[in-house]
Amino acid sequence: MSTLFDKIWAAHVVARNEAGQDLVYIDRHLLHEVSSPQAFAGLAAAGRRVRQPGRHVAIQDHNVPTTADRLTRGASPQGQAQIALLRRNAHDFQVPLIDLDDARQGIVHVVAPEQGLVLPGSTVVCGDSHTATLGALGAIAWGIGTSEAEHVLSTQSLWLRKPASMGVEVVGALPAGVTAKDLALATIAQIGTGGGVGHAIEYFGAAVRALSMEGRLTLCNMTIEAGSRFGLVAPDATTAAYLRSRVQGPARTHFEAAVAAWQALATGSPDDYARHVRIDASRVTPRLTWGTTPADSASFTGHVADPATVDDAVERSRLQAALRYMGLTPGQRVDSIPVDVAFIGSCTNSRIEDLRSAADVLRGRRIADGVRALVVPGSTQVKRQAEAEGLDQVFRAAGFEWRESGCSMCVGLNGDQVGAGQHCASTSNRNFENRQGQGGRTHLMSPAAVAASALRGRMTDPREFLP
Amino acid sequence: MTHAVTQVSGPAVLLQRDDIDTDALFPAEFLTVTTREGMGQYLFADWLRNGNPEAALGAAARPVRVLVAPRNFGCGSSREHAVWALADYGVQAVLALSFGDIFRNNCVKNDVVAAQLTPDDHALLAQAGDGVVLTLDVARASVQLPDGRSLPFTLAPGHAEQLMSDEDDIARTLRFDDALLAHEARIARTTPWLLPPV
Repeated sequence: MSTLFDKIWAAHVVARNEAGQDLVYIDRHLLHEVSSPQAFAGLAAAGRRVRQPGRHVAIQDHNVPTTADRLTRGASPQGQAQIALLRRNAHDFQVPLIDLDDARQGIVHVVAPEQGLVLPGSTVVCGDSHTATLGALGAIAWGIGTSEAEHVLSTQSLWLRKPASMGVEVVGALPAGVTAKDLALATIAQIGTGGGVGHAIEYFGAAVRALSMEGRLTLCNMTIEAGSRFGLVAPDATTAAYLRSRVQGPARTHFEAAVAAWQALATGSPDDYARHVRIDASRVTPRLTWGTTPADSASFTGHVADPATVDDAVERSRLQAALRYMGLTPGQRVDSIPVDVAFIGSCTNSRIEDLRSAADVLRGRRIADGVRALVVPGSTQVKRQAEAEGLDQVFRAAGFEWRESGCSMCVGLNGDQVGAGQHCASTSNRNFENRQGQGGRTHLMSPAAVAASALRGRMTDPREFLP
Repeated sequence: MTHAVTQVSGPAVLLQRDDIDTDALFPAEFLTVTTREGMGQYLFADWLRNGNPEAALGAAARPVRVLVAPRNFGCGSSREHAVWALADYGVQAVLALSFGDIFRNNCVKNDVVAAQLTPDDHALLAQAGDGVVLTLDVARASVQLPDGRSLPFTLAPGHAEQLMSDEDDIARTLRFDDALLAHEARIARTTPWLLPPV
């Protein structure tokens, strides 16, 4: 018997070497301006070409400004130079480019599904660790380094040892007001930041089936925060319905045959996974992180950890350092943590359903004094859709800034940053020290929770604002 | 990178915390670079500014050749800059209880040994302390202490072969061009929806 992952892997093995590594064919490679310059430079230096230019798509996202005047004013000379360099490399190597002024522009992991660029049963790589997001469509999708990107450009393949499999079964149903983000944080808290190392994680079970495609993208997105490069969900009717109107070219021509073939990809039985983890969806609550790893999370009714209660010396000193960095006291109630900045965006939570859920909390209300709040839609298409639904007016009226799309404050490369000592309620994926800006204190949570926390000026369970 | 690496020898520095991520190793602020060279100046830049003593690598020993770390070293972002920074700083090997998978692959691409230790052996190295001169033998997958004790380590599958080879990775793969062409022909026959747009 074999798993979804096994079946996709087997269909992509080109060769095997003595060390037990497989040469895996790559169907789709996504590039962005930050991790690709040295890959193209390597190709140029060796006089190599791109093997199959049509299998690559370059998108400007990481350091792009999100201000309205961004086409004429860059965030920094270096950032502008990097954007110009991707433009030149895409031209020189004939790689399709979604440029800053393109109506399809946005965060690579938002744009790729939106444009039908990721298909079930395919392999997808990108020089970005959150590529696991795309596994939500039933693909093997993972993040790679720049040298690997150069290898893919040149050979359309990578050498890998097949990872072990882990099935994360989510039984039951998520309660009202509990989102895929909360499930992701609960999963990471259960298996740990290193729990998925060396494994490919498949999410399955009734609660996963019930997620929309956007919810699945959020869940798979944070797989890397549990140490696994790969997170995926078996394709089903939700997947086919999402893709039908989006696919292009050969995928459009052969779509019905493809849908039929995808049905055979599902994992045979839960016994096929090397490891099997069960999560009861009915017990998941809205969560937020209080520490400096994505596993440091609690319910909104919960407390910050108390290092004094931890026996392991390494873990105790890690917690002490985390609380010091975050400016928190041991055992403090998480709903007493103040909010200075509220950020809705990133490849985790910047899609239209995310914006709708935050707007539902904010409608007719105003954020607390002193809170700086911004919404950065995941793509220009998401932005236009939100504007068509009037969501931009809800956000603006509540006191949020309404921005152009990009990675923005998730990675803090484009000038959108959290100040030293400031607490940021953020829909992004990493709460590492200094991630959103020097000394910035990140608290990860769902879009509705960010909205609720911005309204109160302290960390707040979004269900308090739901009808 | 195409130098054959068979041995690494030099002073080691001990890192204490789990989950040292690539944002810590190479802060995003410097990601607007477009070359691989000279990245060592950015290693742990934020931690140094924050006054985190762990970032003062090699206060006990310079040049630092080996890092010894606990769990999940190099987790987080895929940025290869983290490895370029380590290598440029002089680090040629990292010994840890576990690694971020992407970081580990980025290491081997840059001739940096990423070797996994058992908890017991990690504890022995930790006792040896900062500045201890370690000698790693890639073929034997072992690390030797100054007193002659030798401890085993594990490399990811295929990494020993890659480290000890001076052949360019892409050139090596292109020897499989017939198999790649056959796979591309198979896509056209069996899964035409996966063909690139023409």
